[in-house]
Parts: sequence; structure tokens; C-alpha cells
Amino acid sequence: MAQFVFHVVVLSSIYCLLGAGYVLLYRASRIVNLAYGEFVMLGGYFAFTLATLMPGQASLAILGAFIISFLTGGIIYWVLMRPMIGQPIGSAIIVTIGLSIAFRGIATLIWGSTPRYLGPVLNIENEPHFFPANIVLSTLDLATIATAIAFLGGMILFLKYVRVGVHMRAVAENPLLAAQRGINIFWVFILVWGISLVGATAAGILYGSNMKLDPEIGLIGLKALAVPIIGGMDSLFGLIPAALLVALFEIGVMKYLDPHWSEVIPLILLLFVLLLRPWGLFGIKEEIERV
Amino acid sequence: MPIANGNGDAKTSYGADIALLGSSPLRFRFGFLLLILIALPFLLPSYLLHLINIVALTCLGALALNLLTGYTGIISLGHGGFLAIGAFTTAALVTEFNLPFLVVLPAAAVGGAIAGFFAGLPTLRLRAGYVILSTLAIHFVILAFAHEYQTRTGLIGGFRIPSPSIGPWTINTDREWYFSLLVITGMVTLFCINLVRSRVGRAWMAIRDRDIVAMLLGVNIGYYKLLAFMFSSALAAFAGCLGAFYLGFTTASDFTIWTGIFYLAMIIVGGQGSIMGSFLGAFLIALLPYGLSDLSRLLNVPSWLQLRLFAVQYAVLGLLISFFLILEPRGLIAIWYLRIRPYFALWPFKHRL
Repeated sequence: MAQFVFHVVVLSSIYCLLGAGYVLLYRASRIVNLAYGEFVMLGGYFAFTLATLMPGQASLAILGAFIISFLTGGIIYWVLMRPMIGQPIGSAIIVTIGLSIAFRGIATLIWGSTPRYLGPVLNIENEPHFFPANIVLSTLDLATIATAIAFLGGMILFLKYVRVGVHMRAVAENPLLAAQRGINIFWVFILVWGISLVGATAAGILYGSNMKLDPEIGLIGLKALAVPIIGGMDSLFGLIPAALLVALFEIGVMKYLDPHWSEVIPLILLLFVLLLRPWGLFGIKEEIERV
Repeated sequence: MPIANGNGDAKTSYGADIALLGSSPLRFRFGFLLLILIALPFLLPSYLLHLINIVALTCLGALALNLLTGYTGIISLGHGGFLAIGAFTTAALVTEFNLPFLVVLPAAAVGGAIAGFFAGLPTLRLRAGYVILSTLAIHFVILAFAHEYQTRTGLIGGFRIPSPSIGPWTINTDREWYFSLLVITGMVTLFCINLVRSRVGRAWMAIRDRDIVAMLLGVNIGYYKLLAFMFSSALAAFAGCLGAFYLGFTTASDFTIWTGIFYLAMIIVGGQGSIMGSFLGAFLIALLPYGLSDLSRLLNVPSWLQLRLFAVQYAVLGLLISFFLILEPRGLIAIWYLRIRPYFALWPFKHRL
């Protein structure tokens, strides 16, 4: 039973990590980045390529992957999303869908569709650790939990206390007003895209070393979409209970009912929340555009 | 006394005003097109005819999505799911009850309409971004049911569907399929053209352009949104049913989330809110994989790339979607009507006075 709880915690940390990327972008620009899963995949592949180029220097490779994905995020915002200012939000979201399908194709072209494994390349020894009450967690499980806590906590503190973080909140609240008060909103958007993609890369590295890396893993991004919706698209804090809830349902269904349906459970939860409480558990009610 | 408008043609009755082929050049061009369409199967080899049939089926799907996305402004990623509903209703009715084609086809459409009704419910209170997410979820839920049904029946590989027969006549060859699909596509197109210029279509466009104003004009937004969902998914299921019969085979893994995105790409590239645009987009994107493979053989690309042409196709599609939305959101049809045609009409001048 205790083991079950910890499985839920591990899964929910990866959901938190993924959800934080969605929430950051949504808060800043009201865009749901449907290419997020593909960025997770790309981040994993960046780390894979760098690690094979310079073997034995895993931490350097991971750092390099973070920097590359940060730059990718900035460039994507500048080239593709900035021209969408003034267009309907729906069009901007479809651009991200276009990006997702394009990146899936490009990743297949560059890295092929055979699964790659990040763990051996990064020299991560995934040892089991034994805890009291018969709990067994691997090194990567612990790393996942730690990364999620660090990223989420770091973001909450960053948005609250750092000057640029306060700028981000101002832009999230009202971009026009923020721009008129002298905040360079383009830099803020670039930063938001960059940070969001760094989160995706962290998730990609963890997922890629824990399981595998192939062009199909981008679908995890769509599954993880349930978490920010349930927690409220504009609430970083709401991610934690939402991620726990989704992970609980998913692992519960996998364990006690049918493994096949566990893949769909997050999306069914998403539908129910959209039907009953579209602004999510902790979102602001007026926030969402309704008819 | 007929009143001439700017173009010099005069409409003296309501009938003349709403006629689709209201002038003799139009009638002549339509007759010419019809002649070509009828002569086509006798001129083309069987392989090209097969491609044309696939394009026709894709056109039906694209039309269905355009009713929802182009005319009502509800962006849907769940189109693959609705196509799957048609295919799976067909599979269930044919394999379990052995029903004839003429019963299965409307039944699939009704099944699609019911699914569309339920899919529309969560989107009633939502706008753009959130609607996309709910249709995305609906796709996965529908596909989960389809996979479940397929595993329950034990046909992991998929369902075989016999050639359809109407009375004593069985639709077998590509040529027979061509004429059947020509008639069906023609009727559906006529239906859609008339639908979008009737009260329903105008209400949809009002909702798309500004929903609050539509509400103030007396359009019942919830009712018309649900109607759009039901029409679109019924037509999609209809196309899915025909597709299953045409291919003679259906399986749940044919309908992925990318199917829905392909259809979305078609109407974005072709032109949202345009019947002709759906045809253009469907034509281009249904033929894209075949065109790419021909091109790769022509250019003698290395074999590792030959094996990954599908990836090239994905990349091209994604970039097409992005660039069309950024550079020309109204699609190819707008390029034709707003750029190419005025250019030649005004030549050698650049601007109208």
C-alpha cells in the first residue's frame, strides 16, 4: 500500500513538471502549447545527442540540453508565435499543433524511430533504494521527485520575489498595461517560452532515462494536459493536488481495473472538469472566456 | 424592367437570385466539369482512379470538418474520432448483424450525430482554447472505446468488411466506386452549399464572427453549436463508413490523433469557411504522401530517407499549417480569389481605380 502511494507520488511529480510548463505559458500568453509533449521528446534527444558527443560528461550534456532548449523556446516564440499577436487565440494554438506534428517528423528524420535509452548514455546508475515500510524507490524516482519540487518551488519563489518574475506576473495580468509601464513584454515572453522548454527538457531527460526515447513519447504531453486543466490553467499551486489526483486515478485503474484504460483516465477526468467546472479546482472563475 | 448590378447581370426574381448556376457561362463551365468527371474513369489507369476515390472520401471528411471549424469557428481535433465512429458502427453492424449497405450508411451517420451531440455538450460553455482541449480528449475517449471493442471481439488485426451491394448490384471495381462516390460527393456538396447559405449556416457564421452579437441577433448559440457538432460528426461518420467499405478493412489504429490534425491541415491550407477550400485542401493533402513518394523516386533520394517519407510528410504538414496560419490564414482559396484572380482581371494595371 505504501509502495502504491509512492508510485502515485512519482508519477504526479512528472505530471507537475509537465503541468508547470503549460501553466507558465498559459499565464503569460493565454496559449495552450499543444507542442509541449514534442518539446519533452526534443529535450530528451538534445541531451542524448550531447551525451554521445562528449561521453563521460553527463552533467555538462544536461546543462547543454537546457541551454539549447531555452534558446529553441526563445526562437520559436520570436519566429512563430510573435506574428500571431492580434490573431484569435485558436489560431495561435493551431500553430503549436502544426509545430508538434512538424517536430515529430523532424525528430524521426534526425534520430530515427528506434527507441533510444538515455540512462546508459548519461551513466545514470538506477539503483533501488530501500526505505522503511517496504518501500523501494529507484534513484531516478527520487530524482524525479526532487526535480519536480525544485522546479515548481523555484518557479513559485521566482515569480514572487525576483524582479523579472514580478514582470512576468504583470504581463500575465495585463500585457498592454505592463508594456505601457515600461516592461519589455517580448523579452518576458521569450523568457517564459525558454523556461517552459527547460521544464520540458528536464521531464524529457527523466522520462528518457527512466523509460525510453522515441518520437512517439510526445503523446505524454497531451495526457499531462489534464493536470493543469484540473488544477486551473492559471494556478501553479493547483498543479500539486491535480497531479496527485490524476496519478491516483491512473495508477489505481492500472492496478485494479484495466491497464489499457489507465491511458485514457486523465483525459476522461479532463472532460468531466471541463463539463462541470471549466476554470479548474484552483483557477480564477472570471479568467476563462465563456459564452 | 431588370435592374443591372455592377457585373451587368440582372436578377428579376428570387429564384434567379438564389440559383447556383445563374448564368450561362456558369452553366457552361459546370457542364464542362461534369463531362470531364464522367469521362475521367475511362481515360485514367486504375491506380490513379484509386487515388481519386481516396481524394473523394477525404473531401467528404474535410467538408465535415469545415462545417464545424470553418463555418462555426469551433476548432476540433476530434475529427479522427468521429471518422472512427463511422468505421466502427459499420464494422459492428456488418460483422454482427450482417446488415445491408443501405441500412449501415444512414445508421453510421446517426451514430455520428449522437456522438457529436455528446461531444458538443462540454464545449457549450467554452471558447477557443478550451474547446480544442475537450475535442482532443473526446478523440482519445472514442478511440479507447474502439480499441476496447476490437479487443473484446478478438479481432486484434481489424475487421474485414465485404464489398457493399445495393440490391443485386455490388460495388466492386474502382470504376464502380468512382461513380458511386461521384454521386455521393456531389449530393453532399450540394447539401452543404445549401446548408451554409440557409438560416442554419448564417447562424453558424454569426457565431463564428462574434458570438455575443449573434446572441443579440436572436441566434440560440447552444442550439446551433450542438447542431454544428451533430452535422459535422454525422457527415464525418458517413465518410468513415464509406471509407471502411471502400478499403474493405478497418482497425482502430488507423485513427490516431494525427488523423484529426491532417484534416485540420486540409481546411487551413484550403480555406476555412469555404466549400471549395475543403476540396482544394483535401486534394492537396490526400495526395501529398503519394506525391512525396513519386518525387523521392524521381530525385533518387537515399534509401534511409525513402523509408522515412512519412516523417517528411509530417514535417511538411506541420510547417504548412504554421506558415499558412501566419502568412495567409484564409487559405489557398483566398490566394486565388484575392490575389491571383484580381491580378489577371486588372492586368496590365496594378490597382482598381
